[in-house]
Amino acid sequence: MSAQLLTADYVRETLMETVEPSQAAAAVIETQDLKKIYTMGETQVNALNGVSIRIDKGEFVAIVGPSGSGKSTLMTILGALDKPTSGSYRLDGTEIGQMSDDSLSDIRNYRIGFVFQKFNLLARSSSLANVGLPLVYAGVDGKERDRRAHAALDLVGLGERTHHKPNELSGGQQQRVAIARALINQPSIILADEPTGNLDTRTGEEIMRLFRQLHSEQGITLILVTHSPEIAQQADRIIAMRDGEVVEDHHG
Amino acid sequence: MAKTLIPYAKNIFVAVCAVLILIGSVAFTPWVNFQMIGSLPADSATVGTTPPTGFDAPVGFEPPAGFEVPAAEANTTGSQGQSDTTFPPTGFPAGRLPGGAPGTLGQFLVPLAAVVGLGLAGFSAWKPRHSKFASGVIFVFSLAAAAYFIIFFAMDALLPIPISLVSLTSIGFWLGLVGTIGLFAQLFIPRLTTDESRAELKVMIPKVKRSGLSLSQNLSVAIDALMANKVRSALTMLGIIIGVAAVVSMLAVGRGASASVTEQITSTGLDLLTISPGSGTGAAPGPGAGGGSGNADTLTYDDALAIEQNISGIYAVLPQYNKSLDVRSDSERLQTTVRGVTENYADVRNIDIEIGGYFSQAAYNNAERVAVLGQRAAEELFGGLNPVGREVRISGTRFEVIGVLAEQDGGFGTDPNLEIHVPLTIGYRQLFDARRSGSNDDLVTSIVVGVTDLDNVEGVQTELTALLRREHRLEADEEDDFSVLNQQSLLDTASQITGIFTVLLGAIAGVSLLVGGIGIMNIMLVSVTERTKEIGLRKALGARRGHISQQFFIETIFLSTLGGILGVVVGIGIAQLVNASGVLAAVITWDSIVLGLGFSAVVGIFFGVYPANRAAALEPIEALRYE
Repeated sequence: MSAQLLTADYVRETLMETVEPSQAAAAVIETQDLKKIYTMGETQVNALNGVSIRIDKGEFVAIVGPSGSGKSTLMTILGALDKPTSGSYRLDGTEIGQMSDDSLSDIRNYRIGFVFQKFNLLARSSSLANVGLPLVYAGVDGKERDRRAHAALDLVGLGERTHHKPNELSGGQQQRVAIARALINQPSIILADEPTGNLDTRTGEEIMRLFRQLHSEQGITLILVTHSPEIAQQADRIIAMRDGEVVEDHHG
Repeated sequence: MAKTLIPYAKNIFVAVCAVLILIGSVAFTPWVNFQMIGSLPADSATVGTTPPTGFDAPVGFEPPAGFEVPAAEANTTGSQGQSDTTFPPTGFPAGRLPGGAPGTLGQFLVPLAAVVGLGLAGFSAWKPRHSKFASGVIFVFSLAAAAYFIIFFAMDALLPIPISLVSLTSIGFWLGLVGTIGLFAQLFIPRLTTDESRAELKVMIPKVKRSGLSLSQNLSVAIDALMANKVRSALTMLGIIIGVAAVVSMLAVGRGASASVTEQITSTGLDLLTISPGSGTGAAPGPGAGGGSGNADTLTYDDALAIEQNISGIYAVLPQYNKSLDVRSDSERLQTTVRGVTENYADVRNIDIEIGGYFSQAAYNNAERVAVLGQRAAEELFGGLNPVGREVRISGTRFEVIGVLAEQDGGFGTDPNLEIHVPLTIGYRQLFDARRSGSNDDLVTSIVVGVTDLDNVEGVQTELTALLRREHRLEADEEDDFSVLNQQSLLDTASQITGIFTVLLGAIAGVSLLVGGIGIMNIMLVSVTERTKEIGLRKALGARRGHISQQFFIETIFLSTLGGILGVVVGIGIAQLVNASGVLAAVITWDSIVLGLGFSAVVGIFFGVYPANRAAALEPIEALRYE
């Protein structure tokens, strides 16, 4: 255990050294009256109907709601994968709602870490290469990339499996690789979309334990989208959505 | 200062290119018009009754290139003046006067095209968010431009007809050129973000050197993707392999044919002038045609003597007389050309002696009855026996065979190996009956003159012509009653013909390369669809449009280049097979290899742009959700 902590310390030093000292309890995410309207032929669907939330640095938030509640849409916008129809979205204090595609690419690269339900690893690449992929687009050279990828894999407890390909790993291990990938660029937030949806209960619990550990040890800001109340219970704060609106927001 | 300009590098690049093109096109236009008017009959240019719409009307609509050439020809043949290739320069200003003349419209359209192209390219570079339309337009134009490039530059470079000069005035060409530059500027220069948020973005994003993907990373990604489906990649490459192999081998065959024709001509000597009786327009007396016929009894042995005495800078004068005669050995009989020549004939014409020897000057002067047989003539008359020392009877007169000529390359239509050489003196005395009627002059079939200095062939030609006109007492208004054939001009004509032949072969092969390129594009589009999810993931992790398009682009280029290299290897193999078959000596030259490789790379670039752009344009969220 102490060895693992040592590793974590080392990781914190090497991974986090460039993080600027930020104001305590600064809002990482701040949205104002966020709306997203999809036009499907004649009909308009209000996927988001004026969402205003604020998430502070270091929070562990679960966004819950039945399918069609708009939680996935909210997540794609928070993840800079899509642009809101109207409203304001400030990430780290910068309005990014209507930025150009390439600027959004950069923001996803540097500021957001994704964890998907289906892991979404490159099947033909090793764990190390998969974890290092975001650094490729950040222009980090190969040696430094491998060094950081090793550190991130250590952090999720997969330090021994750097050269395995996804099909040589269990589902839980694959999701750990995906989490290491999300951590690699020291993002402002980690967005996890049903991260345990494709895992059995026991492995799902392991992944949730890892998330909680990363949250408490590394102080990452974690936003979890799920429809499962048990998973959501483990977060510090639960935002419940229905029909494109926030219907409940309470700290657990 | 320089540093602040870096973010605008792309815009500056596009602007500089456009300005260069603009200057170039304006400077170029008068010349283009000059060329175009040159291909029009002078009277149509001055009168201006035939609006030369053929040049300008179709240009905005990118017709297949070939269409413009017939249009131009239709103009030329449409008016009753016969087309005149050496037009007077005075036709130039005249051509600009009538309202519909090509010059004015062309001068207006070409810069306009450049400006429009510049606007589109600049717009898409400046406003990336609204660049879809501009990119689309530019893509269409670049398609057209590539077609123009491929068809016209190849044809113009290789054909002696100035076709591309006409099409250069086309709006599509210039738009396409500018569009292509804009397109590549978009692809290769990092996109400029002009959002107001740019300044704030700098705060959010740590300063790291953005190197983008290195070539080796891209290559390994590309190779990975291609290895994922080996059979499909190989089949895709096959199209390019066949295309390049066809180009290389067809050009090799064409060049081989060209080389053998050239060699035949040069083997008779580039420094030789051939003087034939009769004006050049009459039927040229072939060597086997039996000589002096009707109007062609104008060249005599005395002319040869006059040349020898009066012309300087020549090393040989070879008067000769050919006649088809009956030749017999003891057992065989042959009707063949008997060539009465001087003793230095074989030497000057580079004909080797296989057995025995050629006749001496003494034998020539004494008009000895000696004969030298062509190789096939010897075979026909004596079978496998050594003919030297034996006798043949030419028109009943006995001749001693003193030698056999080595094998010579075939002439045009006749086989020189069937000929028999005798001294011209004995030929006149006993065989030819070559007196000009009503005089004592001996006629000749031709006189070959060897010029000492290869650079002076034309000078000697002029002197010869003047001398012979004096000798023949021709008035100033009379036509030459002889013709002087320059081997160089014959060579030029022949190489033009073989050049066209080669280009046609190459062009046909090029079409298969084009088809191969379409195959690549097809597969790449399939690949983009298949890998939609991967593209979405990469974008979610921070890949910009440029990263994605680069990846697919390099994949395409890798496919086409590897295919090109393999194609060159196969092409060389085919050429070797052709060589081995002995039909023709295929000649592989570096330029055909470079052309094949370059063409396959161009095909890769051209057909790679569209799939790459399509991949890059995928929305990350839709791509991620794609199943």
